[in-house]
Amino acid sequence: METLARWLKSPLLALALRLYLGGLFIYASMYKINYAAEFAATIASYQLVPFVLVNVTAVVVPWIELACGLMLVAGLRLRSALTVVAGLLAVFTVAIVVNLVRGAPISCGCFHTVEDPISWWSVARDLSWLAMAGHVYLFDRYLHLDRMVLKPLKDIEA
Amino acid sequence: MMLSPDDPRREEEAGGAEPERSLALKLFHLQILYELGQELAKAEEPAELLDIFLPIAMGSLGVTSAYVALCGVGQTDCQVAERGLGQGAAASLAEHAGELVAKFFPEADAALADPAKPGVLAGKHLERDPLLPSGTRAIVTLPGRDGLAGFLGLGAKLSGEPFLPAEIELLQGLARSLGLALARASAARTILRLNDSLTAQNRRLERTLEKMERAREELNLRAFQLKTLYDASSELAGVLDSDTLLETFLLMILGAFSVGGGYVILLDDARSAPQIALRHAGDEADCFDRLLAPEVRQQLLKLFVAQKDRLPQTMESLLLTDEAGLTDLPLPTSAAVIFALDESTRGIVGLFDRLAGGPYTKDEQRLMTSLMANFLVCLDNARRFETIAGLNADLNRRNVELKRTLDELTSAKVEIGRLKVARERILAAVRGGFARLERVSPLEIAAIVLVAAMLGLLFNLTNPAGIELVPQVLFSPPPPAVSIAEAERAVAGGAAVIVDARPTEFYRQEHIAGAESLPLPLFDFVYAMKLATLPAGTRFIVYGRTFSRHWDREVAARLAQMGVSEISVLEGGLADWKARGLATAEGG
Repeated sequence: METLARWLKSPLLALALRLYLGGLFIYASMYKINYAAEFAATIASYQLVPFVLVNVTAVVVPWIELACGLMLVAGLRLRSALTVVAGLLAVFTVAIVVNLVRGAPISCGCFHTVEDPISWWSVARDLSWLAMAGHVYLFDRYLHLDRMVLKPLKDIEA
Repeated sequence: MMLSPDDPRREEEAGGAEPERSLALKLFHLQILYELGQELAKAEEPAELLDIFLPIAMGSLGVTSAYVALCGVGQTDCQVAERGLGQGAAASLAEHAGELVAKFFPEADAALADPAKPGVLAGKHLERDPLLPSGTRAIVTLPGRDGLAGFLGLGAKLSGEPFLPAEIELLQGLARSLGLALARASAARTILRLNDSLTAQNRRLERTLEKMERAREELNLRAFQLKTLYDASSELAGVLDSDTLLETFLLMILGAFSVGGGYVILLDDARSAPQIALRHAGDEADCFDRLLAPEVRQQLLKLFVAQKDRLPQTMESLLLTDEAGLTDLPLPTSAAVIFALDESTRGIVGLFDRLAGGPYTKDEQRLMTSLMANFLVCLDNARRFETIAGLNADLNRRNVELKRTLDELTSAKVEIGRLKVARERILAAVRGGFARLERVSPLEIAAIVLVAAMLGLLFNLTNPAGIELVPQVLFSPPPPAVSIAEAERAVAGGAAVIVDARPTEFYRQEHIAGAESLPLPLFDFVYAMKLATLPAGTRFIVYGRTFSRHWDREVAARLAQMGVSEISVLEGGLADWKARGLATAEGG
């Protein structure tokens, strides 16, 4: 049990989760960036963003995902990036829940336009990602680019 | 008892002598006295006087013996002259003469006695005196001077008669003459002695004068030497440069000893080149080169070594004249002074011939030694001064270096200060950086969003497949709206077709009964398949709008592009339709 607890708190696990989340976001952003019109349609299908802002959101959000994914992989401003990631996931989850409640016959649009319709599984998946983000926020220590840059500067104190 | 010739008793003894005979006798006596005076005048020494006196006295009185004893007052050793006494009597007399003088002629009486009338003692009673020679018939005091006392003794007359008064008188005269002669002789002797003493004193005086003269000359010489020394000292003492000192000293010594030319060489083991001063009437440059030649050093050292135990030690000098080694020197040196300043510094003062010729006197040699001693002290001082000056220069240079180092250190310190400040700033920044890593920064979040937005907008702008940021349909004039009632009528009349503009999923979920699905992605296909064949003039009533999307307007715009003229948008859409209780359908 103790071993499990230690393993769960392991920075290595946090690193793995971080890289996974980063890769996931980068991957997710790729399609959306390339097919902005389709993503705009997906956003619209959720019926949560005003008509005027749908296209802008479709253009901007994938880049936020890309940026955060890259920052997670690189270990740069990790906590801020994680907060953004968590925020996005939370919004996505809420959006799915809202539409599930509405009974809207929409697909998730998380990675591709043509996907299975949203379900509670989608909510569970998003929540697990959110949990991963929390784990990374708490336990991640390794391979931070900004730490690696700052470390030599901190060494002049010695 | 003393008897004088004037004594009346003696007149009685003489009895009534005839006046003529008396006069003749007196004349005879006076002649004797005169002759005696003449004879005594010839002699000066007391012994001679006595030798003259005794025969005349004996002869004139006709006595068998006579003697004279002369003593200094209070003296025991007395001079005795005698005639007719035996040897033993003479010796005895000489022995007791002092006592006799004191006995018969005490000092007090002698002082009071009249010199013109010496006291006479005469008579047989004298024979009884054990101290007097036997046969003594009369003794006469000799008037003494200058502390001389004495007496004259006479033996018995040949005739055996006693002395007559006239004879006594003669005796007194004889004694007085002898006393005077003795006094004169004594005075002469005194004069002679004084003269001798004076002569001796004169001689001493002359000798003293000579000595004084010599001393004065010597003093003058000494004064000259001292003045030379003083001049040398004052002149040399002010010179602190050793080269100038050598020059000055050389000129001075040439002047002091009247030498035509010379040189000074100073060899220092620590220096490769010797220091040289030179005065020469001829080619000075050539002479200088000759003195500079390396073999000169060897010749000089040889000269030093040749002195053996006379080798000058530190601060000593040695005058060399007529030395064999001098001929080896490069310039014609008639005299030289070699000197040692210390263990490693030696030198030579070489002197050419003197202008007046002649050797160096003892005094000059002494002066030379003194001058050299002075010179060595000054040279030592000058060299010490040079050393000190060198050290000072070195010190100054070091000071400059030190100051430079100090400046560098100061600037380095300032630089270090700056670096420290920079370090602190960097560290603060780093600490800030680490602290920021630990927390979520709204600013960073805003920056992420902003950068992503800018990148996205830029990408969309440059991407050929980019989308409109704001749907253009918003800016086109809205198509005419149709009420649900009117629409229902038109559809019922067959003059209109209802078009569902929503995505297929929504259409399948629920749509107005009889409506045709025309989602935008499939617009061309569906239009061509189902709607193009509709008779011209058919009215298209489009619905399908959400909070996020106005599909109806978009499809209406596309239909208009296709050339459809009668296009309306259903007011209220599916929601109002359903609210009115009109028919809807599900599935495709």
